[in-house]
Amino acid sequence: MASEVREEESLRVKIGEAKNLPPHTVSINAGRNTLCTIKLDREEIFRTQIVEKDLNPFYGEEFSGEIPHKFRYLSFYIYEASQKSNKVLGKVSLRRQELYKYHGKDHWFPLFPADADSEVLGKVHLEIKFDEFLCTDSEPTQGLSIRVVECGDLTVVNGACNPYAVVTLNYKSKHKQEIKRTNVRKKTICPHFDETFFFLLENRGQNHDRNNYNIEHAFKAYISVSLWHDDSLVSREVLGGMFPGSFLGEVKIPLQNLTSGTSHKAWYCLGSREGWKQSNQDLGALRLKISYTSEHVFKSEYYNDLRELLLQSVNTEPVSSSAAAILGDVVESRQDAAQPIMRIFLHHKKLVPFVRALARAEIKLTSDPNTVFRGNTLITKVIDELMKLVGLPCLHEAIKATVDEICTEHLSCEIDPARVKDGENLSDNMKNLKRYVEQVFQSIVHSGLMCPTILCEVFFALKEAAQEYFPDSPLVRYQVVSGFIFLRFFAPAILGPRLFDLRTDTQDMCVNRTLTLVSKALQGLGNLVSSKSLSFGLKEEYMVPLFKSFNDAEHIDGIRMYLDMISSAARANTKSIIIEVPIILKEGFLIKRAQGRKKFGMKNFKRRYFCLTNQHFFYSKSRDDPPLCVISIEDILAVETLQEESFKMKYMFQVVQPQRALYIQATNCVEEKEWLDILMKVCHTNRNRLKVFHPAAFINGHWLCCKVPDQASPGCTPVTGGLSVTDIQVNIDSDREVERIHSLYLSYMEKLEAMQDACASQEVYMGLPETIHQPYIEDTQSCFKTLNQVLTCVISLEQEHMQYCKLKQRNTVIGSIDAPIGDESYTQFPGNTRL
Amino acid sequence: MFVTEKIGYCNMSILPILNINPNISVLFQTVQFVQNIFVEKYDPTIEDSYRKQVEVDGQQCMLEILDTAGTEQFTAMRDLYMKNGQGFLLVYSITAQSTFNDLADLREQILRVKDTDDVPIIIVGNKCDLEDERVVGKDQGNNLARNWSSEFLETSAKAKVNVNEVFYSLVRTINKKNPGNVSGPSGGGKKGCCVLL
Repeated sequence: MASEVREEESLRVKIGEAKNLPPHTVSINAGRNTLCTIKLDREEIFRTQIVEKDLNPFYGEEFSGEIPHKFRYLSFYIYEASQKSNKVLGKVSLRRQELYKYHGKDHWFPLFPADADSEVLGKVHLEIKFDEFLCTDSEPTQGLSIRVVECGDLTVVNGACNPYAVVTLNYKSKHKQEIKRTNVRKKTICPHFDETFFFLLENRGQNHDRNNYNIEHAFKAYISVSLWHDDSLVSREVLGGMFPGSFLGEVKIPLQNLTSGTSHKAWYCLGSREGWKQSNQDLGALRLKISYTSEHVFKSEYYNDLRELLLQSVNTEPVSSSAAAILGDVVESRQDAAQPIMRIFLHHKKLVPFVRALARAEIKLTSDPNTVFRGNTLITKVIDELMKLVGLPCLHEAIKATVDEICTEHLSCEIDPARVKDGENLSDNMKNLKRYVEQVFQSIVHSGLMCPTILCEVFFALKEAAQEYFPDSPLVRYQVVSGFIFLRFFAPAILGPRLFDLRTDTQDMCVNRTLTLVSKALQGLGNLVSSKSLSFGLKEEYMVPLFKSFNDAEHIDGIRMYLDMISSAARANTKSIIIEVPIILKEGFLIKRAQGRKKFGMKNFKRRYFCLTNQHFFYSKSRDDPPLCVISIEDILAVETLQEESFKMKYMFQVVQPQRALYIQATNCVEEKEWLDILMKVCHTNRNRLKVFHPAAFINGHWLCCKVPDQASPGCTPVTGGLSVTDIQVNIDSDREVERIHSLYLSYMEKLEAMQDACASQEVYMGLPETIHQPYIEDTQSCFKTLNQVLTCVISLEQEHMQYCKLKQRNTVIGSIDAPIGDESYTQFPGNTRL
Repeated sequence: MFVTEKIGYCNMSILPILNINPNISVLFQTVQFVQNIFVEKYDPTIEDSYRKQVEVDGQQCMLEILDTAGTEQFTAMRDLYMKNGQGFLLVYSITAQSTFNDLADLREQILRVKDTDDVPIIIVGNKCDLEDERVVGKDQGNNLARNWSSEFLETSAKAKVNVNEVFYSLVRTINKKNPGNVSGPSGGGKKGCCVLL
């Protein structure tokens, strides 16, 4: 089973704000320009925009992504941004296995200094042997041989790493040391030393039975091996130990545990410097909300029962007794439940009936048509998630152009007399604002055809349910749809373009205010369709003229037509319309190697803006420049990672075309995975997709991987087998989603059991219904039954997990390269620390 | 979460924020309070702000009231409101138990963002004119208030019960917490009332 288990990790972080950062020593009131980064071990995966002149900066940014490889520490660094280089003000470092403690809630973390003595990464491979040696007096002497084999993943200091190791034998009782050094290895974080040092032990053991000789009897001593970066060869050779270079980490091994005769060969994790203490200096604090999940996903058949039970929700009467609705009731954050539930139902083509069932149940409980779907319930969250998953192309089509214009033109649109700056003219501002609102309005109402079919079907189901229960309110059909597409999708996207990948940069106050005003205006227009009176006029006086100018038949009809189009059954039945406009799937800056015209030259690698649409993959000098090279999707024969050795560069991948390959470097592992995933998806259905490829580059006249000198030779390695992909944008891993739901159920086990008790007590309770305490259960019998089924599924699945973890634990060799001594993450398995 | 639920008519939502003197902002939507008008239908909003000058215990205060989106799309912005706010009204509807239940999460989030247990909070049970539809008892509100050492009031925007008192008692709570924050009776001037959000 072990080989068929996938481990999937994902991370979602909200970087809230920092407070009480240390002021400048010179000008205390000046504030600092800061930014915050996220690092997996040493690798930066995200950075916020710079917040200027503030010792309590508010970042308010979010990161989420799949974690492609193992890590020990998740760290956050606050940098002071300056023109020369960024200086670290403080950091928060969290071990992977303690992340669950902070799951899903905001926490303030104190900032600590990031000094070399604690900035330690990597591991060292040692062989220690305690043995007899023949000395000159030909009498056997006890001695110790220590072989420094190699190191892995050392820290890079100022972009360089020229490591050497220092081996010290410490005689604790005598305050005496014996020090030996290896040679310096140049430019590597994985140096191969293979140097052996001998230490002759004084105070030969009193115990003359050599087979049982234990060093503890001789003395208490320990070996310490420290790694250093050699900043400058001269300083070390001339000045000796005075300037040893930068500390990279050390490991301390007490000798008393070692037995004679055998050799101890193991990997050790490097740790902080001995005597290093976390300083008490107050560097302020950082507020973070971290959600990290690590899951073991088994083979599909393990999930069949639970999956079936979930999908059964569609037919459960009443729907509040269904497995999916129960999950929505017990979780603290409904979004956690809504996302996997939506994906499972979508994947198994049951989303529309599920939404219909939920919608009916919710409307039944609503007395006033105006408040339908206004709360944050399971159904509204499910639709939120659906819009985010399938609606992005239509969102971009509808509003990206205007948002880009607002961000680049930088015009003032302030129409609130109390906020307008001196020298600005309210009527000019109003003109600007009206232009933007009109433009985005036109673009939205003409984008109806872009709306994905599934979204149309869902909106149709909502509309139908609302009309059924409120036959006297003809406008409620517009209101329910506008309450999603405007209030929960377009308006938030305009307000925060980064949230929906509309922009990658953050905006200044002026642009943000314009975005807020446009977003407000658009929401006002969305409300127009169902308002009999101009209720907005009562709220903010300065907005009234703006609304009045849009409150005419043309605009109202435009919106109604749009809302009808995206929620029509007819539309839902027609074949999906072929979209001619290219849809941007992913874009961003990457570094690429010149495509093989010249073999040599320093300027081989260049930073380019890359863009992948559903038709082409192209790059240009910057976002607004014309493309330098356009690759048609059909010409992408394979997309694979590139072995690091090819160019001695990390995060490289290759896009294989008929004549050549394009080698591209991503900025970090998360970016690399995202590009690889999306590129693999778009070219997956290519007819002439390659079966084999070269995992390394063609360099110096041969392929580095297979050494074949013919550049045209077919590949030597089979291509990565992708998951079967039917839809470019929506690729749902049903097993993983069910596993997600399993862990959610598991973490709310107590609540589920309490709910069962509530069912039972409510059943026998004879009192007045209004005194029943929460949670009130609509139908106790069916709910009890479902709860039983859920618990059965979850418990049996969890047994598999426990078994797997035991197996894994048993198979882990402590001291192997994958589980070095001193790395706590191997004594605790993710299975124990899951959410 | 920010606004537990925007149900019904002039529902008082949550999260008033006050920056007393010179900047006072209250995150609280209530057209009733500001304009003395009762709105039958409450449209969804993104971010509306109102200003009102009030006199509390002989002091002039300029309140800025911000009504924010009830949907959860704007988590980062919501934090910003919480960070900038000095006082908070947590409002539920006495006719909907779920709105009452959500208050605990909301308060926890405010305390986390503020990183203190001492934040001026008033608990408000709205729609007390709808006695027939009452689900949340007055004692529940009182108990909650006692546990949190906060004040509790029941209000009705429709019947104009306690609408102004809610704001006054919040302003008083804030003043009590930050006595140095208030200058003389004439201090809270009209200028500088604009709060950047």
